[in-house]
Amino acid sequence: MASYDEPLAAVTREILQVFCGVDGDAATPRARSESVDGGYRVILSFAGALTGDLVVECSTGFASAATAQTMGTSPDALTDAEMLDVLQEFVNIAAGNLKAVFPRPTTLGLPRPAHLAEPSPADLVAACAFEVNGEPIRVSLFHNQAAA
Amino acid sequence: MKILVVDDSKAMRMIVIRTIRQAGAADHLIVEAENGKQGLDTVMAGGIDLVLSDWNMPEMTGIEFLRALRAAGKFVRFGFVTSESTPEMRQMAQQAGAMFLIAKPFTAENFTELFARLGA
Repeated sequence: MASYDEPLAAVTREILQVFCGVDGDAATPRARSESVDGGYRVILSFAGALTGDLVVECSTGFASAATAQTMGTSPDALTDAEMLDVLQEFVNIAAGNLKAVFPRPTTLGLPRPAHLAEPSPADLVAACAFEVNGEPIRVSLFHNQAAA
Repeated sequence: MKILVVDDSKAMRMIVIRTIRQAGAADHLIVEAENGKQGLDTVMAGGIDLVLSDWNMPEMTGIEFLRALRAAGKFVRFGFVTSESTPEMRQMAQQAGAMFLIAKPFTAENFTELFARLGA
């Protein structure tokens, strides 16, 4: 299988910068094995020549700051739905860009909260993690080998 | 000019609208729809000059929306603002009658160039 670590990290950095307004230097790499507890998880499944899931997980602080920045509102006035909306768009943009390096044909699904579908850690093929002002975000790519 | 922004993400609609304003197109009237079906109803009601639509949406996708418009004889200017921009999708969009495809994440410069090209 192709290595997706580099394109995954590149597109994540680009989304942080362009979509979330994070300066290039403000996103510092973090060990991808470190867990992100107590925040938000969103998932986008894809199927076809490559079947699996892309998962974005982050702390509540990251979700709040990113949502306030992208929507141009105060962090105090945000709802859960707004934070999930922004994170779902984050995973949607990441998956859409990664599709260019996926084997063809691969079809993307719609993003959704991840509490119902937990990919197996054994299926992890690529991941990247960053910290922005002390708030973690991790993006992980899973290949569902059972469906292959 | 009256612009219709179609995206199932409220956040993305806000970002697109803000970016249109940043691109210097502050005088345009902008209306929103949450999916292709709502977008189709809005265009059919009349008065829309330009459609900026996401591709991957529930209810009715962007490409289904565009094809439905053309089938109904509506030739409003139409472009995609989408996270997927493979050559196959660009070709499919063009064949269906789209004028352009802007890939997410985009910048204000992408919209400045677009409006210059459209003469708006």
